[in-house]
Amino acid sequence: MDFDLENPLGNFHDLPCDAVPSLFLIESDHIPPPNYCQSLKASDFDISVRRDVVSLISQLSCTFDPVLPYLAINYLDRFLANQGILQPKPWANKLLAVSCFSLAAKMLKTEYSATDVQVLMNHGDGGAIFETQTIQRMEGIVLGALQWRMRSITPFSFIPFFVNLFRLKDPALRQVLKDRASEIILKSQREIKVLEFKPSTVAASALLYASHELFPFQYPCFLRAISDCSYINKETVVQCYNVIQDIAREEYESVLNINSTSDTPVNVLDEHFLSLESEKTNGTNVVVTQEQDFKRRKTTDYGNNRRVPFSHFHQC
Amino acid sequence: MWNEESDWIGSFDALLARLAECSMCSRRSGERPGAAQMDVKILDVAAEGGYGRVFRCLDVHTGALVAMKQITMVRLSQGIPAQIIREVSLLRELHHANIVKLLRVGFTENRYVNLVFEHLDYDLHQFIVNRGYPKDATTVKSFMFQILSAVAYCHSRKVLHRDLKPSNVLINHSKRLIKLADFGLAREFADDFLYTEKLGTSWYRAPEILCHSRQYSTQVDLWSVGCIFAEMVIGQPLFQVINCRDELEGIFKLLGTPTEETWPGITKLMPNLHIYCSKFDPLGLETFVTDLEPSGLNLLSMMLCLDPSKRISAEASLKHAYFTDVNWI
Repeated sequence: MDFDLENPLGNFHDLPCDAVPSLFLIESDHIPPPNYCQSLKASDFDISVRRDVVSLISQLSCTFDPVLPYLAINYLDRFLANQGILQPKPWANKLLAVSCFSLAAKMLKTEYSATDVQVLMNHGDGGAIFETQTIQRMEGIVLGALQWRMRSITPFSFIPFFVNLFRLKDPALRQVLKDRASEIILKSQREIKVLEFKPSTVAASALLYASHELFPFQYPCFLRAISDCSYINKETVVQCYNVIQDIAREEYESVLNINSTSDTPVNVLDEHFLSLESEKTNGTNVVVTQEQDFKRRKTTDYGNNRRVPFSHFHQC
Repeated sequence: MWNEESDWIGSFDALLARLAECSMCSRRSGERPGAAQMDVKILDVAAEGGYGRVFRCLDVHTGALVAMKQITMVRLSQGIPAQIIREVSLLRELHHANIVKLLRVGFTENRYVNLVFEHLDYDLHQFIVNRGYPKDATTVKSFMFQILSAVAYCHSRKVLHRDLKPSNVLINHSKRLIKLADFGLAREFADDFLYTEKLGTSWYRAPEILCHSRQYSTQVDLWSVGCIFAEMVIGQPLFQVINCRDELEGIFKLLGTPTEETWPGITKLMPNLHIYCSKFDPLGLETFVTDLEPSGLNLLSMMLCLDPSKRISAEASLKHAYFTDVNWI
């Protein structure tokens, strides 16, 4: 028995037609139930615990293919949805992180060094070293909670399908688009808001956002291709797109804030603009706000409107 | 120090005990690991292999007959073996009337994974050997349709079986219902790579596997189904009938030694082909598979096609004229 977890739809053209709907039909089986997202929101503590474990998994996976941490975090969410949030013991969070990471690595046939894992997990902590047997027991518990259904359908599974719809002919451009979409998918998984959407919706939204960034002139054609796909609910994609846009923007603004505290000189044109603004108002915060507004305009070409209005694009 | 460590271990075990309560991996403290934790009563040992054992059991809840496959875990330095996790994970995704159902999974620490399957009366190998092969064309056609339905379903999910043979085709006697089984679980788990390379004496293996190609895909299963098809018609393995040194020579005798015309890429795959065997002219399927209607023979020839890229798919097979005869449905 053999299969490719990362690309169940690999070689899309070779698959029988009925393979596509089967993926869309079963993807909901591999995500946490809807009330999981709501129960997380209801408790700041639960959110912080999840964030801690997600952070640990990210540390363990930083040198691997993005599918690996995504799969591990999917296991985490499904486990927490089934078992509830653990008690606030740091070692339990670490054990859970290691177990989810290990299981994902096994599903993806990824080799890793158990020694490196132990060193990383014990850094800055005088706590216990996890023996193989301990991890094995925890793996067994996670497997049981997930009913051994470890072949999660992730957004990555749908990327080749949607990219085929875009009809980009240049392989290099397709790869750039896939890479950026994968990066967006991985970052967005950290936010619980994205957990409300199905993997195919997340994939479609991430690809649209990436195509808008990278190929703005072709974006309307891509949007039409996604809208015409009978397996996709357009309204849900719009909602998910907005969530992803917010996440990506927050990422951009956090980078901007770092820059604003550096000694990098503002160029003459920008300096002039800012000095004009400062004549009207007083206070550092206002200046920072103005700078953000300025950057935002350059990024989106839509002024202060934080939403990309779909209706503004001409259908191709 | 002693007290601190003791407290940690105590809370750790308590946590694990609480978390361990779940339907698929139920385990209660103090209970002896084995059949009891799987809610089955062992009746007898049905089979033994390198992987472990198969027990015939009774489900204590339903009273139904079930089969429990106990897989011995190896290479424990990395915890639960990846191969077992992958195989079970796949089985959990396969829901089809013609695929044997995995009912429960249990995990005995440091030793076994227990898989509980629905039980069927016998396999196709036993059916052919002990009861005489299905003499009537209707049964052959019905069995073939069910096998192909299961294979098409697996392939639509990018799942290959890779080891289809009569002993992996289970039969429910009263309903004449077919279910595929043993999706790789019969393999040695110690080293998947070795299995991939190993040349077993199997009459159902596709030529591209026998040629040591690493690029095989869904077509390997269709070759195996073709061999099963022929065996149901003639009552014994097809390549056992042909006088040959090994399976590959038998294939070439039957269908003719391949050339770049009949199998593009064969000279790269088998550079020493001319040394390996003489140039055979095809004996032809019709020489050995008599008593099969023309459309059946046509379908069989499309399954037992040397060139994998020209071999018929499971989905296309189901639409073949052989199955459009309304009488057998």
